[in-house]
Order: sequence, then C-alpha cells, then structure tokens
Amino acid sequence: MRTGIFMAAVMASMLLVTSAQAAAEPGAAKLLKSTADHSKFKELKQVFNSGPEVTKACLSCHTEAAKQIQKTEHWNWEYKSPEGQLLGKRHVINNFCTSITSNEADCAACHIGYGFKEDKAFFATETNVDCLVCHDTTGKYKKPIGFDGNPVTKNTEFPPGSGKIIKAVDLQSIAQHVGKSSRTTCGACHFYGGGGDGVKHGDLDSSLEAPEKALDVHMDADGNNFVCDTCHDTQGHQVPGSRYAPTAQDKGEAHVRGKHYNTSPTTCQACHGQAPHKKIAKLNDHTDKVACQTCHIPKFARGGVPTKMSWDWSTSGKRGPDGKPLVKKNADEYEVYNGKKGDFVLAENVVPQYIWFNGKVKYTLRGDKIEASNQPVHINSFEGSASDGKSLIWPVKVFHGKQAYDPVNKTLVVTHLAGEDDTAYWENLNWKKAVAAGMASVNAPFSGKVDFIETDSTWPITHMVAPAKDALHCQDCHAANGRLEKVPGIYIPGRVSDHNRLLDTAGWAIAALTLLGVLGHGLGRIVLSKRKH
Amino acid sequence: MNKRVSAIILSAMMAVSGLAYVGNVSAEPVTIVGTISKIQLAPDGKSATAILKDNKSGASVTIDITDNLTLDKFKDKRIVEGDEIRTKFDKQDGKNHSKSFKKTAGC
Repeated sequence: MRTGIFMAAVMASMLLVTSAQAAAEPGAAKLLKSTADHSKFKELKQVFNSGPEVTKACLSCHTEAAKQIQKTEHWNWEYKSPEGQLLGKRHVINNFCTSITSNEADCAACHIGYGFKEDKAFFATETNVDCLVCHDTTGKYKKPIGFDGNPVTKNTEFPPGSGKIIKAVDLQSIAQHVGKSSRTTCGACHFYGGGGDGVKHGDLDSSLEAPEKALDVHMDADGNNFVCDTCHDTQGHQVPGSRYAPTAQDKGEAHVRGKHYNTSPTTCQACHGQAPHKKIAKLNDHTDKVACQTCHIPKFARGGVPTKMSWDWSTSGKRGPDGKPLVKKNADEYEVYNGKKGDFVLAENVVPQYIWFNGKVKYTLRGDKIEASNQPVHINSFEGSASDGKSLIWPVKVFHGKQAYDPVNKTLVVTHLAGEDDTAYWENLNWKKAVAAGMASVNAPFSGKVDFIETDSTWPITHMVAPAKDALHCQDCHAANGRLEKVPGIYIPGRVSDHNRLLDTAGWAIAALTLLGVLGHGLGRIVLSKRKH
Repeated sequence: MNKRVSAIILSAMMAVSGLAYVGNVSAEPVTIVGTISKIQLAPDGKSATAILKDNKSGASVTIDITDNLTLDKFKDKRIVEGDEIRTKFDKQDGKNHSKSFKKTAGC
C-alpha cells in the first residue's frame, strides 16, 4: 500500500515537472534571434509624427548608419559607369514610365528616404534616410504613391476630394519591431518595378515572397529559404549586385565564410565554384561560354504573375463614355489598355532571349541624338561577343516600347506624368504640356513637338532559378531551332545555323557506305564459311 | 447498317472528347479583382474565408484560404477588410479554393 502511494507521488511529481517544462517551452520559443529587443528602448517609446523623427531615434544608437547609406546607389539613385556615363534612376530614361524626374512625388515611394528632392541639402540630411523601409518586420510600413516618399501618419484623403482614405501607419509600433531586411521588404519595391507587380524585370515579382521550390530553388520558403541578402551580401549598407554594375563572368573560386574576396558575392560561382556539375562532368565544359542562368532559368515570370513585354504609349489618350481614361482588361483582370498609358502586352512563362554579355551596358541618355530611321532605339545595349574572352551567353528579357520623343531635337524626353497639376499627363492626357513641363524640370530644350519612337530595353534574367531537374537539357540547345539558334560566333553541334547541307549529305553518305561495306563484308564471310563446310 | 454504327460510335467519341475538353476548361483557375467585405479566421487559425465584392460583376464571392502567407497577413492585419485584392482560385466541391490572394498595387 505504502509503495503504491510512493509510486503515485513520484509519478505525480514527474507529471508536474513535465507540465512545467511544457509551460516554459512556448516562452523559450519566443526568444529573439536578435540581441536587442527594440520595443524595450526608451528612444522608441515615443509618438512619432514623421519618418525623420524615427530616423533621429535610430541614429542615436546606430551612429554611422546614415553616413553609410548616403554612399549607396539605393540612396543616391546615381551611378557613374566605368565608361563615364552618369546612370541611376535620377538620370536614365526607360521605356516603362520613362523617368522619375518631374514625377518624384510618386516615384519616391520607392526611395529609401523621406521627402525626396533633387537638391544637395536633401541628400546630405541624415534624418532624411528611411530606416524602416528596409528594416520593418511587421509588413505594415507603407509609403503611398504621391507623398514624396513619406509615410502617412494621420488618415488622409488622397487625392484630395476623392473620398479615398490612406490609412495612417503606426510608426512607434513599426520602429519597435525592426529587424533584418527580408524578401518582403526588398520586394516592396523590387517586385513592383515599372509600376506594378512583376512589370519590369520578369524574374522578380510578388510570387517570390514565399516561393515554392519549383519557382526558386534558393528562395524556396519551405527549403533553403534564402532572403535577398543571402546572395546580395550587404556590408555597411552597400548592397552588391546592381544591374548598373553587373558581373557577367565570374572566374573566381567559391567563397568561404570569413575570407575576403574581391569578386561579387552575388554570382552563382561565388557559392558553386567553376565546376559545379558533379554527376555529369561534361556540363562543366559549358561554363566558360554559358552563364549558369541560361540553363537553370528555363523561363521567367513562372510564379503566376505576368510581366510586361511591351508598352505602346502612342495609343494612350482614349477616354471612356464616362469621360475617364478608358481601361481594358484581359480575362485575368490585368490591364491591357489604359487611357493614361496606352497598350500593354503581358506574358507568363516566357522563354528568354539569349545574347553574349560581357558586363558592359551602354545607355541612350537624355540629350543623346536618336533617329527615327534607326528604330528601335536601344534604351540600353548589352555588349559582348563570342571572341572578347569576357562574355558568356546570358538569358535576357527584351522589353519593347513605343514612347514620346522630340522629333526636332531628336532626343528622348522627360514626361511629367504624375501629379495634381494641369501639366501632368495622367491628369490632362496632353502630351505637349506634359513633355514641356518634364523637359523644363531638367532645363533641357524642347521643340514643342512630340512624336513616338520604338525602343527596346534589355533586362538580365537571374532570379527564379529552377531545381536541377527542370533545367534545360542538351536537346534544348543542341537541336535545330533550339534555344541558342540565333547566338552568333560559336559552333553549337545540332544547330541549323551550324549545318552545311553538302557536308551533312557527304557525312551521311560515308556513314551509309561504311555500314553497307560492313554488312557486305559480314555477308561475304558467312557465305564463304558455309561453302568451306 | 455498318455506316450507321460507325456514325453512332464516332458521335459518341466526339461527345466524350467534347466533355473531356469542358472538364479541362472548368478546372482552369478563376481570377477576380475585388474589395474584401469580410474576413473570417477559423478558431484554429489554419484556414479562413474572405468575401470579395467582384469589381466586374458586383457579386459577392467567398474564397477559402489555407496558405500560411495569407493567413499570417490576416492575423497581422496586413490584409484587412476594405483592401482591394487580386485572387486566383480553383472551384472544387462547391467551394473556391485560393491559389493566390494578394493586394493590388501599382501606379
């Protein structure tokens, strides 16, 4: 009896200990990975009425952060190429919404600062740096279009008189929950380049927020779960891997943690090295000519989000029966025509085009002379050839546009699209007013005449890496009219362009004769051996 | 007689193949854009339903959501009633099963 009571007591105490441990476990699971809980900082326990007030609090501890940011392309939107071209968003004209200049109120929603202005004082002011846009972990931080890159801290009707309310964000709560950047924070801008989800790049869209393995083997949310800076390994806020300074060919070794390298951490080789194919070593013979992306990203826009393939501004300006800009949508409810913007072509699961690329990109900039007789004008030209020793065959998206230009001065133009004023194209659908305002904003000459010119722009395809089983196979390229049929300057067995009909016929004839000879010889042997017996 | 039998068999084959085609079409996911009028999370947090007012037809459409990304957005109030959503869903067993549920965005 006593033994029984003792055993029951032991078991009860064991249960109590177990349940106490179980109760403690949820608490343990909540342990922060970071060494700092920002919600405990007194600097962040205050009401913030503006973005710069948050930044001031951040900089009281992170004293060098703004200084680092101010040296980045993300901040300056400016990059001087080795060839001497002044590039970056502040300077280039593209064939999507064409130019951020004169449209800053809208475009600055994707600048990492508050109150974007084209003046030195703006760029020099540390509290203009927006820490939250990259470090928000709540997903609730928003910088609406039309506010010069500022968040809204009080519910605001916008546009005024529209009845649409932009909800305020709680800066205090967001500031208390900052952390590392994520696919969501980077994607808030980079997934929406060109004015909407997946529009610009083709290999970057919201499907990468939590992708499956089939879409991206590295970012697979249930697998490797890479975030952007796993590859874009950021040091001192400098994010490597800008498309303005691309690495086309990386001959370096695979990076080892802790060791310093001069090669970009963003390339495939930075992890996989120069001979990544272990099972089929023959594939390693291709890596000196073919970029990894060529085989391993068989198609782009694979995540269910279409990308824009062309944009014709020349057809814009139509209004519907209600007097508002006409809108037409396709079966998937995506706009294919908008009176403010013109016609679009969208596509999913797109096979890339393939070109030689050596890392040099030359841009057609504002002021460069362009000729209607030389269409399409290349907004950017990827340089490279089979013989320069620096090029690889790369997959690219080629985006086609038809956009406004000045036919007298023969230049691309800055168009004032966005804004509440009478000169903004999206308000008045008047090209002359909009271009005059845009060109005046950069003190550039404008003849007063507007015409439209065909353009194209090229975008490297480097995200949406498929699992190895879904990579291209030999026959995708080594076949008539295969993927690389049009790539010049290289012999690729199996291509139509590498065939000489006469040589082929002679080869097949020799093979047939050889077979015939072997068969005849064999037959002769058999017949003769039978006669001997 | 043989001709008549052949005609009947051919007609039957065409009807079956036609039905097969209709079956495929109905399996295509449906896309709508609309404003959320109601979100209801299941008590266990593992599923939710959202009612959208379709911009095109004005009809209310109930969508079943089970993916963790969207459920987290409901829980964190990153997607709330009044938001405009683009959703792609499969119709199955009289229900609309979400394949994609995202806020519309763009300029």
